[in-house]
Amino acid sequence: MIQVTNVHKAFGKNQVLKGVSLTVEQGDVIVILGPSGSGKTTLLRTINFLDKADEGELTIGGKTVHLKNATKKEILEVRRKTAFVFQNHNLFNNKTALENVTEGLIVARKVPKAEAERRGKEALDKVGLSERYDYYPSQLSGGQQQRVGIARAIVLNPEVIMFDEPTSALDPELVGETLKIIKKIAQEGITMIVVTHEMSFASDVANKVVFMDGGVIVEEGTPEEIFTHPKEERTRQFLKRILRDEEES
Amino acid sequence: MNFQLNYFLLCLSSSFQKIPVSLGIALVTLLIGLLVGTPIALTRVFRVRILNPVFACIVAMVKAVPVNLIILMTSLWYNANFNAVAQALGLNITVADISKIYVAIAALSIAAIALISESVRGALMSVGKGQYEAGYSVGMTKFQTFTRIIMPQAFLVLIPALIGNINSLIKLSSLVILVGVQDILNAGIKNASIYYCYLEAYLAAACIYWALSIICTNLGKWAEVKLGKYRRTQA
Repeated sequence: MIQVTNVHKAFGKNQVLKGVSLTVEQGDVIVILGPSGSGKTTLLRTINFLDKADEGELTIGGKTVHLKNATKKEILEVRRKTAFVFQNHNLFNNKTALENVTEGLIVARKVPKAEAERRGKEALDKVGLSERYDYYPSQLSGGQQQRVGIARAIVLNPEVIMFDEPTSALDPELVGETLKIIKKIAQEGITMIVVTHEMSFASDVANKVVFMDGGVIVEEGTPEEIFTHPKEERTRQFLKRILRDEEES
Repeated sequence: MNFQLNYFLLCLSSSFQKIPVSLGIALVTLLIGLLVGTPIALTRVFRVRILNPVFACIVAMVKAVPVNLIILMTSLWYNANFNAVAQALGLNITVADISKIYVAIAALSIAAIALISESVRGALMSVGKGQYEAGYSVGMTKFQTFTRIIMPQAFLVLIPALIGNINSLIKLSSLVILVGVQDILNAGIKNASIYYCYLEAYLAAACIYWALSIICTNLGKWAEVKLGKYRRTQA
């Protein structure tokens, strides 16, 4: 179980997170929705210490760390229990697809190279890139790069994978294939927190939907609850706007 | 002004013999520049408290001054203080015992450090924040991320800049005549003042600088191709 409590984060004078708490059970697929600037991405990043929160606690793997005063060692421990898939893929440009996937195993987790490569190939096979082990990121399409990014996360066998708008930087025709793979992984029971604007993905795959706005969680519940009977006015407004946009496009 | 081949060849040969001096000065100062300039660049890229603004200020001051002025100032300080410093250290040597080439190297190193720390800084900054974050996200330490992910990418960006720096340093080495060291250009000029063959001397020196520059540039291109196999081939 992963639990974050009372996360606060400001960038300068801009208070982005105003006391967010979230509980993630083993095997959960949580989708965080919300307008731009609502703090969704920042919440994900503070969990992984990519942004340092001003306040808040994180419990993961039975251990609680303070999000602001965590030691270097604690930060490293948390990062080795989690994985992150970035909006812009952020593959290591100087490494092949396979090296991208094995780097975290070999360097950070000291897995023997042969075993790391076996697991790395397995992960790449899972995302449908068996033919691309030795390709560099510059030789891959955006969708393929993101799939390597997903393989890089699943190979670590983390307690939770965080997806930060994994399809927002992709061409529309590549969104589907990427979502399909994320869905496949979700069905294997891997815990994940996904920030996305893909409503159909949220209602298909998530078992819990969290709606954020203005740095707080406005409402959370099952997809059914959020999409068909939202309790809060702000949620209703947001969904109406999104659905209208989707119809227009 | 008639071009005379025999004088040209004479100047070419005496300039040619000074290649080791110019190249030696350039390479030694390059090395010092890299060794000292890289840590300076690191403190600046990672915004280390106190050191960052201090180095930023020093680098800006050095870059603002013509290099020949740096050489003159270094030489002035050296001539005025060396004996006293040597005495204080209990060394039985004087200004006259030390080759002026070391003064030249010391002075040019100051310029090289400023020059190269800026090149290294630019190269490091060319690697995006996302590369660091990706490294951290898979559980690598800062050091592992830096050495395995950032440095190899930054180095590739550094190569062309460094080739430019070497070229600059080779050219700047012609200023060492200010402290009395003969180099490619000044060896030719020495002949010219004897035989009055300035045109030939200048051309001879220029030819050698051209050749050195071409060699450097090609070395750089070769290294870029060798190290940059991960980059998409430019159409």
